[in-house]
Amino acid sequence: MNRCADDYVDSVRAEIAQVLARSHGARGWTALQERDPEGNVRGPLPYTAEAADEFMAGYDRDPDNPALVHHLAIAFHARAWDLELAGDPRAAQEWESALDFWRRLASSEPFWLRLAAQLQAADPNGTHDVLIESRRNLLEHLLDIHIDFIRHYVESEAPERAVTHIEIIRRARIPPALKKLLVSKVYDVIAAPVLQACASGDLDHALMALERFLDLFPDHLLALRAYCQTARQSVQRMSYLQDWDNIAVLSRRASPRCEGLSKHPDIRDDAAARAALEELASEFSWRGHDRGWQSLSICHVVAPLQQHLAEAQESFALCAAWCRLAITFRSSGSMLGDVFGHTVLGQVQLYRYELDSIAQSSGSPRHKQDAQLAILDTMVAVLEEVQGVTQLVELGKQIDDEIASIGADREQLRSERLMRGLS
Amino acid sequence: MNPWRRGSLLVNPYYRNAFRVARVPREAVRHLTMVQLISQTKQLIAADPGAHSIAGKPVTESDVNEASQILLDAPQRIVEELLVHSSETAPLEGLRARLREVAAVMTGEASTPLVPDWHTLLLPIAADVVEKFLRAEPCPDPCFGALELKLIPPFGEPEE
Repeated sequence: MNRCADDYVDSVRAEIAQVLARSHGARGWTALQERDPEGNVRGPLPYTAEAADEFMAGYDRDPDNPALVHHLAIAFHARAWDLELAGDPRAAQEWESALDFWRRLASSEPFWLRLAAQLQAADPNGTHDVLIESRRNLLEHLLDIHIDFIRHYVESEAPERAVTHIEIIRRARIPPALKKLLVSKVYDVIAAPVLQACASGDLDHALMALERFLDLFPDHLLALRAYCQTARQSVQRMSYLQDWDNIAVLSRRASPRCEGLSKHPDIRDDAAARAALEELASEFSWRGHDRGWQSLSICHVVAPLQQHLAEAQESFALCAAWCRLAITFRSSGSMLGDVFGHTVLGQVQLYRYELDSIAQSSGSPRHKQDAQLAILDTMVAVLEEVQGVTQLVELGKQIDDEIASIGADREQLRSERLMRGLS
Repeated sequence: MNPWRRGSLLVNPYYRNAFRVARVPREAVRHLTMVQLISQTKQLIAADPGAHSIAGKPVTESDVNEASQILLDAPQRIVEELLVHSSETAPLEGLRARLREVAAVMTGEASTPLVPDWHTLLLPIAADVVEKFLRAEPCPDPCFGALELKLIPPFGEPEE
């Protein structure tokens, strides 16, 4: 059959249009080439801006083309890596784009078939196990890069950059199971030095590592539990006589984490976490209790010096704070409630010194009475807090008696004030 | 094996991949070809240590040895391919075929010679000729009756 000239022209024109449309890959490949000063090709770079634009234009036309997706995955990933190392905040966006392209590749059958053909050509007798494994683990391998960066930033005191990588993974369109893996993997890499540090007795280092992890994942129950256990080991080595300052420092340091644990929604279901919190609280509270009563006993024997009163106050306050934190999680047979009760009795003694001090002061009777009434109210309130938490019967009775006694004093003072007001 | 974790975290793994280090194209799969290319790279470096560099940093023989271990081991090599762009060429096959076809017609070698479609080609020319002819005829005065009493030549002329 004869063809007319126009048909030929049209068909050639159509072919040229096709070539132009499908040449983004080729133009991108050309744009990747690194050249020496003479213009000779040295080899392909992982990315250039021009190449990325070409690949993207090709991808827009043909999003299922595995070669273009692979080009883009490499280009974005390599650029993200460079920006990351340069400390450029644009890295986050590039990582996310790269992960998206890699995710597409992981599910692209033609891409893996092409690799399989390549493997077959390279090793005709070999198996495809390596490809099956690579495909299965591709996203996890990419996740591991972010784990490495998280660890790097945690260790180099740049937690905000570690958080950026956590956010990248959280936002990434990857399977939820993989996202969950992020937390456990980060825990594993940060907990590994913890275990080593504990074994070698370097508890402070272990606590630091756990604190770094908890800065990233404050609700991680396992880490919170490990933190309590490690802090407990640390406190156990301290004596209230010689190491009080260290105890106070550690208490301030551990309090926010332990408060987080006490309010954790899952603590009710985790007996080990509850036990860890209670045991740590017990260690702190015993030391606070002992130091408080020791200081108070000096006040009883000799005249109450301001220094001893302050020491007792500080010690009882520390003890009471830890008791409050863990009292609801105490196990049967725990002494925490008794320590708490006995500490509050010590605090009541301190309030009595304060009442005496007010009585001896030179203020107006009305102001003195007001101040005394406020203290009596506080005394009743703290005593009522420990009513029923003690196991020792005598202690419980002592608390009840104190409440009754202070209540009577308060009533008497109120009557006196009323009478004074009437007169 | 995780190809992104082979080196330091602080070195972008995409630049010094095994293919680029050994100067082996990703498309080269035959063992002998790769061995030859790797050998050429080693010779190049031996002759001039600065002759082969990537992103400004020279490649050493030790680097090439490491790369060759990866490339000559099929499973490692295929994983390394994840880090490397495949080469691309413009899809010119269709265009070339079409041009060959046209060239054959023009040189008279084609089995289907290029024949113009005379009907389509001449129709506009004929229409143009007719129009010019009609415009050249003197126009009758419409005041003296209907123009269509007699068809204007050459249409409607009785056959002689």
